[in-house]
Amino acid sequence: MATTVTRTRKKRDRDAIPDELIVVDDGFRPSPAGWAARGAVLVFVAVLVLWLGPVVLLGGEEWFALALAAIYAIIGLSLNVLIGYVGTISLGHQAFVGIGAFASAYVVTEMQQPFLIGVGLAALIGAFQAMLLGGLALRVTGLYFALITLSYGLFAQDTLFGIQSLTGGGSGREAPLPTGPDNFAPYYFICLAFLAGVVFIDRRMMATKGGRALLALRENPRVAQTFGIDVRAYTVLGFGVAGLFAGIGGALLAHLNGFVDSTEFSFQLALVFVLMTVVGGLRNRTGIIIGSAFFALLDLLIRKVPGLEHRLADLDTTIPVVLAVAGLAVAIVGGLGRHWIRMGIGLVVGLIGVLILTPVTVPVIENQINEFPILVPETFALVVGPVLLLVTLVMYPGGIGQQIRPIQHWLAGHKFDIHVGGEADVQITDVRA
Amino acid sequence: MTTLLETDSLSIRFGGVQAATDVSIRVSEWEIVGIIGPNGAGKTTTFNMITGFYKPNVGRVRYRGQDVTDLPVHKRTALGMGRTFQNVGLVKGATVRENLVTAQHLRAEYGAVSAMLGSPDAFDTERSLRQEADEILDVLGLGDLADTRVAGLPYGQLKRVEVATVLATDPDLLLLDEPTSGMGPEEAHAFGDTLIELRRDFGLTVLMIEHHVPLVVSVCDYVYCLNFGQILAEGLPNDVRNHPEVVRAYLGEDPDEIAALEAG
Repeated sequence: MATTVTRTRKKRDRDAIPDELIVVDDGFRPSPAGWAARGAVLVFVAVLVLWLGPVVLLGGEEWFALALAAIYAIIGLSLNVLIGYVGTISLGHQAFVGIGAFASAYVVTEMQQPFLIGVGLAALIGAFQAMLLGGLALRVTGLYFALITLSYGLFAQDTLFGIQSLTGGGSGREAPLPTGPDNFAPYYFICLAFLAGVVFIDRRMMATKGGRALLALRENPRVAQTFGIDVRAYTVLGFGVAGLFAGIGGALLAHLNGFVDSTEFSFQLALVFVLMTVVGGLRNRTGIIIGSAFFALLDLLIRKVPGLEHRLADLDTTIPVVLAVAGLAVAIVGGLGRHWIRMGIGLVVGLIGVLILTPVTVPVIENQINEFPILVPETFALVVGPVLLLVTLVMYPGGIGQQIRPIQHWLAGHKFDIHVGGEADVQITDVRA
Repeated sequence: MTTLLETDSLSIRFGGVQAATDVSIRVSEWEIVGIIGPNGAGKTTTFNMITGFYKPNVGRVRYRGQDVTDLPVHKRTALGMGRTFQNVGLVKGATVRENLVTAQHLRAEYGAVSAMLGSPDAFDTERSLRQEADEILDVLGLGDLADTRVAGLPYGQLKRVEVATVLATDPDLLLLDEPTSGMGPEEAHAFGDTLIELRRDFGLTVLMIEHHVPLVVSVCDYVYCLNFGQILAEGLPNDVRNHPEVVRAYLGEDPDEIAALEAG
């Protein structure tokens, strides 16, 4: 192979490549102490998720919310496959999830099958219905496809989920918790195990030809074809994977609630799913898990602050909530990016919002408090979500994922560099139009 | 020499525009064939019919004697057709090496679904694919760029990376759409040398659209000149270059007048 070497050298001299384009390994390897620090962070996260958070800080009754967070993370990863990898938006994801929920409920209560078979079948049925929709995505793209998914979701909600023999009609269907009534603690770990499985499949897909094919055809289907990629087959495959994940998420959700009925799967839910995925950060699994868990835990957060639940339902307090959330989000994001002015402005705005919300400025008389309607959790998410989305799209198009990239980079054994994961990693033109 | 690619009077119409009429091209194995012609002559349209992006209204495309007119693009890639694009056909968000590995799609002989579920043979295949990609990059002198993101590269480098990427699809017939656009005369000439080396090393046959006439004359074995969707002239490079019709198509002048001007 000596000839190859000389030829290579000759060419290199002829068309010299500018140095700034060459990515070289900086030779940095963490010291044992460095590795230990990285390991400690990972162990801490594991302890937080598996023991400290649920067992110590939150205690018994909050297991439900934690299981919901794991389920939302699965659903977020499902939507990420569609928006992030395939490059098409789904505004009807509540149908994807709902079909899984009803399928598992039917299998478990009507057919008397065990829980795992229910989840498995729900995953397959979810994949199947998504692949049918994927066939459509080959003919209709962009905004028109978004409209189709929107109407598919509404159709499922109003018609499909009302079929008496399958879904129990308006009265819904029972979906017993496999770990026994109200025993949410072990169920949280079951949900985590499913989340781990979903993350595994996602990782393997993106590391092999299926994932590469999806990324290529999202960016440029013509080029993907000349690479020998069957655009039809892989689009359908992408939908299948998204449907598989959504089916699992739906089944887990059904058994968590112990009950499914069609009113749960409204368009609002689909919006929350899209918001949590985009705010979490497309194509960044960790970011999506954090984002989805945040939206799932919002409900718990509201209930933990006394009186907040009622006060939030009051329209007068919507504006301060928006101020507080937007301000604090800008402050955090600005602080992470070392934009001190942004951080300052964010802090001031956020604190104004928080101040208005405190009982000092909005006195709540105890006997009046119950006259306010209690806030529907999704509604709150729909107040907070768009604000976060706006902040995300304007300042960090990669969402939470982009903000945690420096940390991920460091954990992988590199030098800490706050600038890792710049704009180049993210494209705002994510959805093919 | 055996015929590798043959088009049989390809014609296509877009609405009221007849973009190509009776285009018959023959490329034999090991040949480098050029297509020249002014802008809008139907060169890229012809390429799109050959590679399967457009379906001709009339005419057939034959590859190794097999009628491929009705095959989709990716099946033609599987048969050994590789093409580049006028405006650079790469996945811009990925690195150079990732592009090559993506282009090796058909050589990854594991199932996409089984790999997703953690099938172990995918790991080995992935490793060897990355190695092969690096070898191709080294041959083209692009080894240093392997980890660079495509989106940041200058145009001339993009064109070279694109050629490397197409080589990764393991083609027998390379269809290059203006491979030297964005390059200076020096670089274009060097590209001609590279092309001849590639033909030798990879056993390639080349059909290329090219505006840089000196390059066409120096590397091509045979040249077609298109104008208004029709073949204006064909033959050996020098004959085509001096063909009066070709000169008129390019310059819009009487060749005798130009000769007179040059002499005077």
